[in-house]
Amino acid sequence: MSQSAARARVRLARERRPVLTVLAVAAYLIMIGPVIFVVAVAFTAGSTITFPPEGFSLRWFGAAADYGPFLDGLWTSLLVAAGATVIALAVGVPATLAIHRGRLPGRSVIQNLFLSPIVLPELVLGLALYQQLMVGLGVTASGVLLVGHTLLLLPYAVRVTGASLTLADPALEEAARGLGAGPVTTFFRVTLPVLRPGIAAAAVLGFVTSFNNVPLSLLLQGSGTATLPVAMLQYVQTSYDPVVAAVSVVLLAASVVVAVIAERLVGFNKIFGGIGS
Amino acid sequence: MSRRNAVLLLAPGLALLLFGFLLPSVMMLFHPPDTPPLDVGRRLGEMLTDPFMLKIIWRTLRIGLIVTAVCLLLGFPVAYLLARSTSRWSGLWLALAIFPLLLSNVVRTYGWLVVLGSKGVLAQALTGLGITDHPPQLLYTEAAVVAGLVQLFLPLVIVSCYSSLSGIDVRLEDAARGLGASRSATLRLVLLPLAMPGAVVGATLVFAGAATAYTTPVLLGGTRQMMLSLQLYNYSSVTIDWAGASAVAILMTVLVFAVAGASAWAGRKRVTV
Amino acid sequence: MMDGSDAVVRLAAVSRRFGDVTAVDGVDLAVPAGSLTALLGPSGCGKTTTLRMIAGYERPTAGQIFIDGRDATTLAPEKRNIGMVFQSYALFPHLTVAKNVGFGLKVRGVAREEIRTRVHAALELVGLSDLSGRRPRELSGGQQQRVALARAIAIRPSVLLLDEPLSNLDARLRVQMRAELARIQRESGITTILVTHDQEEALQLADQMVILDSGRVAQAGHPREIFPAPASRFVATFLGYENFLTLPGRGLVTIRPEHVEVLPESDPDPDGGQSRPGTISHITYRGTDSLVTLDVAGETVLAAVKDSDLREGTRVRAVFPDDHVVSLPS
Repeated sequence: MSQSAARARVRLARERRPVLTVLAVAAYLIMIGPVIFVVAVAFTAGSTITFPPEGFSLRWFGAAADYGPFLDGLWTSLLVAAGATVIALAVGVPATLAIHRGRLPGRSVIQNLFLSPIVLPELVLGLALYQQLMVGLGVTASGVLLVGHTLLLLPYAVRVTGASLTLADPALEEAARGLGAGPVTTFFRVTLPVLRPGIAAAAVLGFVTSFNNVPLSLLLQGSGTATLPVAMLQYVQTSYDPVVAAVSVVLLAASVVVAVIAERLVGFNKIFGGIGS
Repeated sequence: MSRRNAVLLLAPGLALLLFGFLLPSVMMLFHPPDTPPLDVGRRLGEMLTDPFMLKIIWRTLRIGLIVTAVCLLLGFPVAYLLARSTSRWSGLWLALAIFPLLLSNVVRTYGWLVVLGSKGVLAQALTGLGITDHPPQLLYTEAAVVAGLVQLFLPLVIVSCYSSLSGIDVRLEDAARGLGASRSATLRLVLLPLAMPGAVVGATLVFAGAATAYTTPVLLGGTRQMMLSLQLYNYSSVTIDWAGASAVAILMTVLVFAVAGASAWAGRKRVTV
Repeated sequence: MMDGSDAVVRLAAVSRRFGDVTAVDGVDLAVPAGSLTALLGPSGCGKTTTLRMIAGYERPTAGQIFIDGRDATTLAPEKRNIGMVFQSYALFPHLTVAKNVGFGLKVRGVAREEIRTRVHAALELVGLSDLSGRRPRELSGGQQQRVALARAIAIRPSVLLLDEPLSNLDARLRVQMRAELARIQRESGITTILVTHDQEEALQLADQMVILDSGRVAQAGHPREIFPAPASRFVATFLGYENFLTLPGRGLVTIRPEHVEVLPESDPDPDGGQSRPGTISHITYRGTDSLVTLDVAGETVLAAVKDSDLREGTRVRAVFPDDHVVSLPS
C-alpha cells in the first residue's frame, strides 16, 4: 500500500506543471528576493540605499553598533521577549493542563478565552493597554509592555502545549498511577516529559513572536523602552542610509541560528509550520 | 486532577486575561481617558459619514482583499507542489517558505525599500535596460503596500494550504483523471473543494493581518496610502485623540470579523454543496 | 494465448523501471473483448504497475500499449476511457454517492437528465440505488467498494481495471463480493482486468490468468489449463503446491497436499503411482481434514488427510498418484 502510494507520487512529480511552477517561483522570489537585496546593500561602501552596491565595506555594521538606540533596543527586546515567554509559559502550561485534564464544565469556552487575545488586531490590543493601563491607571511603560507581550504569547503557549498533550495517550498517566507513582511524581516523571517538545516549541515560537513584534511595542513604548524593531522602524522613517540593512543582516543570521536550534529541539517545520493551521 | 486544583491552575491565566485583556478592551470602547461618555459612538458615527475616513476604510478593505487573493494565487501552487513532491529537498523548500516568519517585519519590508526605492533594484533595472530615463514612483503606492504585505503573509497561506493538501490522497486525483477529468477540471472539482478548509483558514489569517498591519503600510505607503492602522496610530500617539483611536479600533475589528465570518460562511457553503 | 487481433487492450514488450529497479520487464499481454483477465502474483511482482500503465498513471520506459487498437502508450489518463477501481476506492469525500458515480459523465459534458438515468442504472447494477444521497464516509467498506465499481462502470469504459478490489474487505464479505463481481462483469459484459495476489480470486473469476514473477510473465492461460499444470516451481508454489520432490524417472515434480495419500507402511505400491516410506512427524487438525507432515527420507512432505486415526511417530507409506504429479523443469 505504502509502496504503491510512493509510486503514485513519483508519477505526479514527473508530470510537468508549467503554470503552477511559474506561480511558485514567483512566490519564492517575492518571499526571499527582497531579503537577498538587503544583504547585498548592507555591505555597500556608499551612503545611500543603492543597487548594485557601491563597493564593499563593513562600515555600516560599525555604524549600527555605535548607534545607541539599536543596542538599547536590542537589550529591551531580549529582556521583554525572554520575560514574556517565561511568564506566558508559567501561566499557560498549568492552564493547559487544567483545560485538558481538569474535567471542567465549559472546557471549550475556557480554551477559547485563552486563545482570544490573538483574535484581536495587535494594534487594537496595544491601544487598549496603552489607554487603560498606561494612561488610565498609570502603570509603567515597561510593565504594560510585558503584560502586552505576555498576552500575545499566551495563545501560542496554550495551543502548542495543548497540541502535544492531546497527542499523548492519557492512559500514560493512569498507567504511572497504577504502577504506584503519586500525582506529583507522575507529573514530573510522565506528564512533563510528554509536554517537553510542546513547551520547547512554544518557547521558541513565543520568543521569536515577541522579539519581532512592532504594533504593541510601538504603542507601548515609554522613554527608553523602544524595542529593536521599533528603533529600526523609526530610523528608517527618518533617514535613508543603509545602517538598518546591516542590522537586518545580523537579525537574519540570528534567525538562522534560531531555525537551527528549533530544528534540533523539535523540528523546524513542526514548530513554525503549525502557525497557519 | 480535582476540580479545585484545576481552578487553581487556571487562576493566574484567568486573572491576566481579565485584567490585562478583557477589561481594558471593553473599557476602551466605553471609557477612553479624558473622554465624555458615549463620545466613542459619536466619533464612530462621524467617521462613517466622513468621505476621507470612508476612503481609508475602503482602501484598507481593498488592500486586504487584493493581498489575500494574490497570496492564495501564489501560495496554493507552492503548497501543492510541496505536498506532492517526492524530492528529498522538499522539506528544505518548505522550511525556506516558512523561514521568513522568523524574520522581523521591519527587515522584510526594508527589502522592498531596496527593491522599489528611487535608486533601488527595479529603478536601476528599468533605466539600465533603457526602458525609461525617469523611473516611475514605485514607493508610496498601493502596489508597493500590496507587494510588501504579500511577502509578509505568503508563508501563512502556504503553511495552511500545505497542511490541507498533504492530507488529500493522491489517488483521488488519479481517480478523477481516470474518469476523464482534465488537470484543470481535477483542480476545480476535486482539489479545490477538498483544500477549501485550509485555504479559508489561511485566507482569513492573511486578511486579518494585512488589513491591520502597521509596519509595512507605514514604510511602503506612508501618508499617501493611509490605512486604518496608520490612522489609529495617529490618533493615539500623535494627536492623542482617545475617542477617535477607540472608534478606529472598532472599525478595524469589525472589518476583520466581518470578512472572517463571510469567508468561513462561504467556505462552508462551498464544501457542503 | 490469442494473437491479440480482437484484443481490447494489448501490451507489447512493456517495461517500467524505477531508478535501478525494473518493476515490469518486457510484458506481452492481450485482453480479449468481454473477458476477465487476472494479473496475479505476490506483492512487488509488477502487477499494480502494469495496471497503472494501462490506466495511464505510469509511462512505460519501453514497449507499447494499445487500447481499442489505438496506440495509447503516451496518452493522458483522462483520454483513455478507462474505468479504474482503486484498492483504497478513492471515492471523493466531498461528493455524494450519486455525484461520485456521475463524476465521469459530468466531466464528459453529458446532459444532466442522461447523467441521472445512467447513475441510477449503475447504482442499480451494484445494488445501491437507495444510498445515492449518502457521503462516502457514511458507507461501509463493502458499500464503498460498490460505489467505486458503479463509478467506473457508469462511464461505459473500454476496459474496467480493478486493483486488488477485495483486499480491504473482511473474509466473509470478500467471498460474497467475489460472486457479486462475477455477476456484474457477466451482466455488463465489460472487458475487465483484475489485479490480485489471491489465487482463489483469480481462479474463480478469470477467463485468462497471467501470473507475474519479478516483472515477467511466468505463465498465462485459462485457469483450467494452468492450475493442473504449473509450468515452473514459482507458479506451483503460488498456486498452493506445497510438495516438491524428485521421483525416479520423472525428475523434479510437485503435488498438492490433498492429492498425497497416506497408507499403512505394509500396503503394497498401488497401481498408477509411486510411493515412499516415511514417518509422521506432526499432525494439525483443520476441521474438515488434517494436515499431516511426513518425513520421507529427510524430505518434508505434506498430506491433507480426511480420516484421522493416524498418530505422530507412525511409519507410513506416502503415495503420489501419477494423475496428480506434475513434472517441473529442474
